[in-house]
Amino acid sequence: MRSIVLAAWLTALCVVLFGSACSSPDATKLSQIALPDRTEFKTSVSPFMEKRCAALDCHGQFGRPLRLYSQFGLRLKRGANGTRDTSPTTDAELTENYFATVGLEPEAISDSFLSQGAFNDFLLLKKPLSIEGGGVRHKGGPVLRGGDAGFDCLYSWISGKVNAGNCVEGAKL
Amino acid sequence: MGMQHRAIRLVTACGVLALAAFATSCTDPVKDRAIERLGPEQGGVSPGPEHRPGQPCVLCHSEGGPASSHRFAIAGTVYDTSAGANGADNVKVFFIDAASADRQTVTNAAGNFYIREEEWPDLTFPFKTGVLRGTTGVKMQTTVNREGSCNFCHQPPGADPRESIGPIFAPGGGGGTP
Repeated sequence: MRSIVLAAWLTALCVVLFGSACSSPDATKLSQIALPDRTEFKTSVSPFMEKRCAALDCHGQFGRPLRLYSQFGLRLKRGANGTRDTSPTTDAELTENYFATVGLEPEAISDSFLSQGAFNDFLLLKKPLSIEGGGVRHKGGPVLRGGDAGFDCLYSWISGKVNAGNCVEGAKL
Repeated sequence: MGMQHRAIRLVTACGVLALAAFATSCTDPVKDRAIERLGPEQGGVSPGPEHRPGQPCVLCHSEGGPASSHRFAIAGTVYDTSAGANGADNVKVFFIDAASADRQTVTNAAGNFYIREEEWPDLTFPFKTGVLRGTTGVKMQTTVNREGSCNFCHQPPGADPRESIGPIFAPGGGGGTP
């Protein structure tokens, strides 16, 4: 008798699991995101990140989160005859960099963009800072400070109006 | 009695397994494999300042590496030209770290250079660097963010050109910009 009850329970459990596994996603439950401008990223932000973040020993690696391509580091494709591509960073690479950046935490970046920077509690803005300066642990250590040009380059772009001058300034070594 | 023996054997087996797991967890298999890939000494050069030009020096010359008794903070190789065939002797290599501290060194006959860890124990990444041959100097266009082995990025010809910027070469040697 007990085994019949157990079998009945198991069958019911299987039916529930099978049913939930087969249910189709709810088409109305989609994340609506608004992302900062792609052209501004390509012309101002990426050149800054290429100099400060995309070296081959950092984010210019295939295995790295926030993978960044650049003429100074990782290339998307080989050049002619399989040699190093020595051309300036290509449009395809800039597009890859954009999607790597906004794809890090798309909902958070969207919230920040929509609130014009009022929301700033996410990795892209916290990773470069020291822990004492409001950041989080970053394997490459603190690379920016809250008030410097490079940080403002990122922040102003996410907030909706990039400060191109600060991107140029921030890229200077 | 039989049950007791079986239990003792099981406990012993578990103990041996735990010890084995503990022992193997003390090494870094990624680093070990990377070192293994470097292969044996080349060209009859014995271990010393001129051995293994072009290889990522700090991989071995660091804690846990086979050359950990000679640890380097920064090390690499400068070649005569972008072809990366011959090392460039007597090229000055400069460094300025994030704390504005600086060091310099000079390449040897193999083109190798190094700053020992005890010479720069508080090196703060990222750092800037450049090379000077005679009166002609070139500054690296990006910072070095975390890698003490310059040859990690500046791999010799033959490496995947997407992932290597090519060998470091002295200015005036021909072949483009270092």
